[in-house]
Amino acid sequence: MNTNKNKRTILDVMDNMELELITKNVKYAEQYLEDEGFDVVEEKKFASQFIRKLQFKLEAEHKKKKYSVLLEKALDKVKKSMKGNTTFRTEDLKSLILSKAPSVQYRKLENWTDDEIRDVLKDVDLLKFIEEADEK
Amino acid sequence: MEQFQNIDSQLWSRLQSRCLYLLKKRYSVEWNLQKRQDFTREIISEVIIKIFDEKTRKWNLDRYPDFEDFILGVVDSHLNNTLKNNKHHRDESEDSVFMESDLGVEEDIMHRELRNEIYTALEEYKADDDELLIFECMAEGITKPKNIKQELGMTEKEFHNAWRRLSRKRKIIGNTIKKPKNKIGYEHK
Repeated sequence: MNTNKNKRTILDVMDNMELELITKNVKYAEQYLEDEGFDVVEEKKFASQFIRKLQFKLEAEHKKKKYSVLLEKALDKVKKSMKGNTTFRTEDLKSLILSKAPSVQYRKLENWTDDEIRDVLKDVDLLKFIEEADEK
Repeated sequence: MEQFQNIDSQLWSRLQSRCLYLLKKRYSVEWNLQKRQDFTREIISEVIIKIFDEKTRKWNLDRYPDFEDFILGVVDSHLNNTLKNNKHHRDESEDSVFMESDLGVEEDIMHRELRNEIYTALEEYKADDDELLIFECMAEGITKPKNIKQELGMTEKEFHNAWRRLSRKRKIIGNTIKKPKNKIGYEHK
């Protein structure tokens, strides 16, 4: 009987099977780790902590990105209104902004920079603002 | 991001054990427990970060239809690159013990000799019937666990228990049994 088509010895076959078993099956994997002197409970704890930390980070980044998209959308609505490109009149916009952010000093919106508008919008419920802007 | 839901401590165990196994078998690394623990943790962590955070390793669906195969590929590749930088090289001699097919007859003889040698060694180390049967299946070319279980009518539990015992003996006898020499008489590690 020949060795298998890859011309490996039986020892190699055993090793390949071991590798396949520990890779595909968690029981074999944990057994192997234990045989090698690892504390499986400790390793699982480390893994869970790492995964949890990364999950928080990824979720926070996702929220930040989503918020950033909304902010730019709201800014776009404000700028379009200032140019008179929508039916959303500047006066309505001013009173909307003032109602959402009453601490803001009233002055000509047209003179505001993008960053100043963004700054005001940060105090605003963006989703609601965009919805209301769309309604008007 | 949705694939991140599949990353759990069970997958971690499988990746870590694979990493550990390859360190030993493929790269012949002999570090103490602490170093192996730190190293394997680092490799797996870095792979997960590369895929999900830095996004420097992207899942190519054509090459890896299955996400798990993709992550395994990244682990193997990252392990290889890291060890190469640390001057540990893959034991290439493992990859082919025999020369080309003109060794057919010699190959048969070497296989039979090795097979007998291993069988004898297993018996000396008190391998039971299940272990010997599994070994014989592999020697006969049945190399997938599913097929061996089917061939021998073993349950998963029976196979698992027998395999555990057999693989421990494999470690012991592995060093004492020499691999066959190739055509030019070069002995592989």
